[in-house]
Amino acid sequence: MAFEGKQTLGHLASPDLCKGITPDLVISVLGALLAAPDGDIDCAIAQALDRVGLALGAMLAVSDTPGLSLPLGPGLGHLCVTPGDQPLPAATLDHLRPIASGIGALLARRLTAQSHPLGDVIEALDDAVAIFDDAGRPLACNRSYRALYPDRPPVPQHLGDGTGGVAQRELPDGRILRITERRSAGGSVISVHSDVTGLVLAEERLRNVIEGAQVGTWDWELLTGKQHVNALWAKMLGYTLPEVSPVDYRTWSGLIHPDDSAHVEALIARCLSGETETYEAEYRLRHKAGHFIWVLDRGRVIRHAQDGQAELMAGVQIEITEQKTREAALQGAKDALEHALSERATAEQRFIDIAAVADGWFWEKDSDLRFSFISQPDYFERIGVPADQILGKTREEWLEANPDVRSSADWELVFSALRDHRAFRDFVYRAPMSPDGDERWFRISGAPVHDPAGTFVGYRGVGSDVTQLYLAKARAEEASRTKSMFLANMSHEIRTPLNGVLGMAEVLDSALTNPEHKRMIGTIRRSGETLLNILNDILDMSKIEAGKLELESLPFSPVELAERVEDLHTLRAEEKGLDFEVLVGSGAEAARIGDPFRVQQVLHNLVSNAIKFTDKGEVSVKVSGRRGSPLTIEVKDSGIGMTADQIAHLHDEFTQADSSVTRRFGGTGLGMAITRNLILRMGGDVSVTSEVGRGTTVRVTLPLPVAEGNIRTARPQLEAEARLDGLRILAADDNGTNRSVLELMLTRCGAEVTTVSDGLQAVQAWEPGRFDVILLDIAMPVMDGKAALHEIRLKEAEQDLPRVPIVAVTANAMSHQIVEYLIWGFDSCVSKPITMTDLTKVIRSMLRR
Amino acid sequence: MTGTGPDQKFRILLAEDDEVNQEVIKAFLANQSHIELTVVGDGRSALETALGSRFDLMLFDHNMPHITGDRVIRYLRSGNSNNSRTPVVRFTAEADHAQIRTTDGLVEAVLPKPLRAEVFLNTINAILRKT
Repeated sequence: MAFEGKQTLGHLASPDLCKGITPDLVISVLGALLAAPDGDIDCAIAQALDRVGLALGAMLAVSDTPGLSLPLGPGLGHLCVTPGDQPLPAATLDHLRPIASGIGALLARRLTAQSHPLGDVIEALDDAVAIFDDAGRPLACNRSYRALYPDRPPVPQHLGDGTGGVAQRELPDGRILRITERRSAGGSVISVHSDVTGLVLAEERLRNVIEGAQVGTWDWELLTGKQHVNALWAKMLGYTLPEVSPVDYRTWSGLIHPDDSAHVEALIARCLSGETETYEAEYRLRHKAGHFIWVLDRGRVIRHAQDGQAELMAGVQIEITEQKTREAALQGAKDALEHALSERATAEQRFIDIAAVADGWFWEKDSDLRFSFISQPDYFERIGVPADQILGKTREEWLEANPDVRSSADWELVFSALRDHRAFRDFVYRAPMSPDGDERWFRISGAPVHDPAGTFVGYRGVGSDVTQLYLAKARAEEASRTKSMFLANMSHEIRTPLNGVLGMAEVLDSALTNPEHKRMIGTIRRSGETLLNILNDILDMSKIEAGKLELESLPFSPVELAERVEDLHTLRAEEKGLDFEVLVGSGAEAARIGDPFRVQQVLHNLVSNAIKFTDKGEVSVKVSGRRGSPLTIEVKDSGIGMTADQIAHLHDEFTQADSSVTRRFGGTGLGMAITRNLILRMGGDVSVTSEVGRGTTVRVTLPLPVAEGNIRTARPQLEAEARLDGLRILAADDNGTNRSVLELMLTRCGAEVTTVSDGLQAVQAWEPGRFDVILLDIAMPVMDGKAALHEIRLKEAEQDLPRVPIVAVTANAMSHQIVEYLIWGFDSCVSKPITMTDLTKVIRSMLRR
Repeated sequence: MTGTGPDQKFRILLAEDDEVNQEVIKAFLANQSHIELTVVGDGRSALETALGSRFDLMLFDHNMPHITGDRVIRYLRSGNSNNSRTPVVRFTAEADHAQIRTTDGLVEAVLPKPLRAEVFLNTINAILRKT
């Protein structure tokens, strides 16, 4: 059956309901309906209704237009058909009648469903929803359902035992559906198809995450005490899930470390009571293997009962043993670090405290030798050298800005040390002038610093203001120079007149024949010699004080030495009526190596003292010491003796046993001090035993080595050679006495002497070949010795003459002066006071060929 | 003689301003372990050194700055210095053979320049043995 031509489907009772429905549409629906096989009428109606929409049903239901109509059912109106101009044949109507009743029934049910207020909601759902009647015939479905199955009618799945169930299906396109079916009390079946693809994937991801993160999970039904854990939770403790199941609270409390349980349970209780939202704790659980592992446990109440009681708690647990171990190690390291830091702080504080009270300051330089630290910036500020002028600069840069400082010392000493990374000590320099205009001197020391790997990292050092010290030292040195100069001057000033005394006396002595006169001249000579000795003592002492006394190392004969001392003192002892003897022990004849002059001085001093302090009895000298043992000198007298106290002070400078002794016996008091010093310098020792009124014994031991082989003992017999017969000698001296001495001495030796009183006269007296030797005093008025020498040398050179020996006569005969004289052109020199021995020796040596 | 003990060396002073000659003599003496050599380069230093300490032998060139070698020797022989009796060897280009002379107990030798090692060593060792 078919409709042809323009046909209209009924009238609309309610325009609102029919909105959007066109007659064409209705016709096509009805056409389908009419074309459907009888048995499938329901299905056809349902499909038609689906295509038309529920609105059509409503329209039809309320249609009550008279005309060709078929009743749909009670209250459902009529199915109205307007076929066109021609009336429908009766047969058609008959055919339509069951259709109308079928539609009516369908509509009735549909309306029931449709009339529910949730209909729109269901229609709007994203989930696909379909409703079936108790026979499984589709009643309705929503938009999503139609979209899901555009080509397929809704079909109940018959899940479960028919009462409903849930199933999951995967569609060919990969989407995953969850299908839920429920049979209502009325027998209809509601089928909901939800797209759970996202959810399933999310779940899967979550599971992956949980497994990947090794997170144990648990939940805890508080009512039953049952707990559920995942396999990881069990594995964490060394168990499989079946091994630990079933898990309950007791399982857990049996595993937790007893020290942790109270604390953790309290945290859980707070969470359960709602005091805290979440629970979190780190604690130890016993591993299956017996040891404890650390876990971080975190959970929350996820469900509460009606009364607010916590019902279900769930959470996750991860193992943090390794973190804990690391944490412990870290803590250990942190503690150590803190300890070290506090130590360092203490050290630093100590350093600061010390620096604050120290006289000096501390400084530091970096590896570029730039100042990186100065400990007392206030001080530098005060003296006009602000720290910022020093810090960051090298020493060179700073010195460039302070040329005065640079020129005050030999900085190269410091620089070379810095270059080589060596330490330097006690370098003294003048600091920049302070604002108050005072001179300041600094002393610095520094040492390189290396890191543990041995890399040079800079310098650290100290500095101090040594102005006081430096100026005091400068003053002391000045004083010492003054003293030395004074002594040298005094020596010169005293020697010059002594020259007259001793020289003249020596000459006179040999000329006198009257015993009385001889005795008198002897006294003069001894007095002069005493004076000379005192002078020598003072010079010796000053040499010793200055550390300038040098000892010779020559072979000498102790026997000769003893004989010489004996010669020197025999006369004096005889004069005092003393028995005087010098004994040389057998075995002591071997030559020794030492300074014979100083050994003689020691012996001489001891014997002089012994004779001086002995009025009656005897003085004996014993020289002993076999090969291999020290040379021993023992001087024994029967003199006034000394108390123990006096002995103790014996060697002090300027001290005699008693100051009254000085008055009685004379002397400088230097003798014993010099003697002791000489003995000590020679590595020897001296001991004194004495008894007041009975005498004194001084014993000296000198560890001088024995000289191997023979030594020259046969010194030329000077006396025999001390002749200057026939020599023509010119002598210039401004001092009349000296001139007389020279003249007498030389004449006595057989020389022809010409004397003049200054250099000019000497030059004038000179004629080529007139003199064999010329003696020139150095210090003379008009023309001094040096100038006269030059004049004579000049004349000789002009005339191409051989140089006549010219000898300087001077009181200044120190080594460096001798060198000067020779450089000037003198050939030799003799020192004042002049002795005949020296004079003849020098002159003869000048003429030796 | 000062070099008495087994450890004690003969002390020799060389006064020579010519550096080449200094080196030659140092080379001659390099293997003479019994000799301790002090070298100075002019007459002034020579005199100062000789006044300062005693030597067993002094080797002198004649022409030296400040003071000639002969004058230094003459002074040393005239004074009371440590070295008034120390043997002296002079170097001279004027002599044609080595000679050792002893006058008044003073040993004086002359060595011709250029120096020959054998002659030089024989001469000084002969002097050192004698003293």
